[in-house]
Amino acid sequence: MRRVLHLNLRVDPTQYIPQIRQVPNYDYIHLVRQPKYMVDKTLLNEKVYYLSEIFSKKDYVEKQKISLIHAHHGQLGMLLLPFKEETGLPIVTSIRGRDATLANQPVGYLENMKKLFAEGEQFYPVCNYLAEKIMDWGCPPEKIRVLYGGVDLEHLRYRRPIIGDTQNILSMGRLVEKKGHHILMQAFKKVKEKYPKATLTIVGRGELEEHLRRLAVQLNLGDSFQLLQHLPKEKVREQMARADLFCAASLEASNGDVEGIPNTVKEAMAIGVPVLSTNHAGIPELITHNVDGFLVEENSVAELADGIEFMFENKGLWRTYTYQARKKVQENFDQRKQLIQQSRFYDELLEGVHHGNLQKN
Amino acid sequence: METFKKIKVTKGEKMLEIENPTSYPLIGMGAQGAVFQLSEEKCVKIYPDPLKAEMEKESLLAGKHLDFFPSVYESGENYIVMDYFNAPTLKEYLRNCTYIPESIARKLLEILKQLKEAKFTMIDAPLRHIFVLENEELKVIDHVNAFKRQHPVPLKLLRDLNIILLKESFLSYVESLEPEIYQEWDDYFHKNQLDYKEIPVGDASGKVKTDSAVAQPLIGKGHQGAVYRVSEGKCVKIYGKVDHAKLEQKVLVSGQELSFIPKVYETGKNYTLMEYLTGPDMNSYLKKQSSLSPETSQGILAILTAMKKRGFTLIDAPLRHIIITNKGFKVVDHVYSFTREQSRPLELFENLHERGFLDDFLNHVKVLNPQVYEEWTKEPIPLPEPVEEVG
Repeated sequence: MRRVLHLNLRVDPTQYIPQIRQVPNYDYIHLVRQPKYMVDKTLLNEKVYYLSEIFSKKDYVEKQKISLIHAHHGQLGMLLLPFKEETGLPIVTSIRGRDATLANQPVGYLENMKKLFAEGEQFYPVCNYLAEKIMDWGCPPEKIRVLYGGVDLEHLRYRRPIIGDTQNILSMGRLVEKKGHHILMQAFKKVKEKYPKATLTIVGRGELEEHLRRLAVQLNLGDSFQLLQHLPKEKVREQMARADLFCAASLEASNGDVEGIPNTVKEAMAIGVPVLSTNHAGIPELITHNVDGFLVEENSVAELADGIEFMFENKGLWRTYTYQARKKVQENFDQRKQLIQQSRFYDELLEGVHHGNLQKN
Repeated sequence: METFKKIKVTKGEKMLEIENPTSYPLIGMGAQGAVFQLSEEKCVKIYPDPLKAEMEKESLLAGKHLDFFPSVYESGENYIVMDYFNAPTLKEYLRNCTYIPESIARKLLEILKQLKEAKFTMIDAPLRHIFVLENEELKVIDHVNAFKRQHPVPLKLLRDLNIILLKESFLSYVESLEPEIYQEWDDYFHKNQLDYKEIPVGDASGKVKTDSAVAQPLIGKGHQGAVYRVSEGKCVKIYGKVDHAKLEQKVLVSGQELSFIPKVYETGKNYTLMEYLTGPDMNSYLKKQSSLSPETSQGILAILTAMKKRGFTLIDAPLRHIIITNKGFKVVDHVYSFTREQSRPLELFENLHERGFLDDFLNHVKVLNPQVYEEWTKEPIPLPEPVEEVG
């Protein structure tokens, strides 16, 4: 079996573990930059290694019989260019969002991304939107393979939406500007005028926590609003199962940071929670407006509030929306299928084999 | 007008001592001098040792024509007034970079070439001594040892770049832009690739001192020795004192069947060749955890009970000495395991307390091994007093 050397940011359950450890027909080495990035001991095994600790790259690659390098972010691809140079291995790089923008990037970032585009063999943006972005930066289109991230459908069972008289809205995601939580909270305030029993729960951690808590006080949201810190997976699923509406108010942050396609929206769609989101980044590739969910313009309190009200007023649509949503996720965002796709992209690169069902880009 | 001449800088036991009756802020302090900001453009470096002031003056004069040198405005027996750079250091400038920008690589090479042409022997500068002005103009400070130290290859620069993972991309540029220089550096490293048995560590008194010209990567340095990496899976600990080597070797060799003891491949009079351990140390790891898992406590407890069973007289495992490898927890530094008497892991307790996990650990131990819990807690655990805030 061929072995791929994967470099991601941390040994941590949120960091694309299946895309490293469960790719069919490919064994792995899970590399992180330095030992300090190994932050979850339960994921430590004999295949975890540290870039800073490799004594001789050539010997290492030979001993481990590595065929390919996969960097799981643009900046990590750059970091591995000297490794590629020394060992002659091909390199593929995933592009996941911020790495296709200049948001908070270090000096020389664009110049070095161009170098990576020139020297790297393949690029896997997680949506067509990001594919366009890197093409604008000069990435040769023939090197691009859009690879949607999948969700684990075996653990996400579909249940028909509960159409009762509650209006519980759920949103999940790091507390950072691009998630648009602040817009959602303001929209929720408007919605409450008409639906006083409505509630909003946001689950996540991040730098804007204080800011959002203050905003909740300013908006006088009281008990109808709760902000929950990061929850264990089971609890997250419980929250999902209880929600009437899942909302992702994603937007382009003031520094230019953008999303790919949020996994939480895919999960909500998989389990049958109606979804409302924005026309932002790759999200329209997941949600088709008025077919399997509802889309509004990003960064607009009024539009988002109207969208929420529309969803509450048209509960009759929820069954078809959620049925279509599950179907969409099964077709394009099923982790099992996406991992097979990933392994086919590897095959294509290593063997020059085309499987013919590459996603359009 | 205030005069900086009222500032007194003297050598203290560990660091410089400063008496500053003026309002000029201290902006930097090193081994040889302290720097105070005088204005937006100027600063003064004051040296406790006039010889060092003389050495730096000489270097600054010799490099006067170099545009990356600070200009000198005034100097005296123990001070030099020079340019103040209100700018990020190169270390700060390169923050989060994963590939060195080509422009920076070119400028660094140019600086190194000019230092060589000006006949300096220290063709080197650490990242914190390089400032990045507007338009990415670089300035280099601290030239005290410019004619004293022999660094024909930029050892400090490469070491610093290596720490932030930019050494490889820098060398990549050196190889393509200046192949001759690249070859020179490569030759130097090969020449300095010593047999590990001959790596010098320590002075005549046995105090551990390492030579930065040694090509093998230095992994760590402590009171008893320095550790160098010698191959993918091996490292060598070289001791300042032969006695320390003997003490530790006895522990390591006799404890080879214990799972937490690193494998030993070879021992010599002043060195031990052993397994190189990769992974975070437990202290760094726990800094990032919100709770202490019972499995972690169990692993640590197993080490301590095995130590006791095996006849160790020093029962302790400071968190920074526990390495989390993919073959389990390993413990390094065993010089005093058979000679010091200590029946409770006091340093471990202190470290866990600092991380906020001591109570959790003891609760886990109480369940896992009530007898050990009893032994450890029958006397109060001495912990450092919390530092009271003043004012």
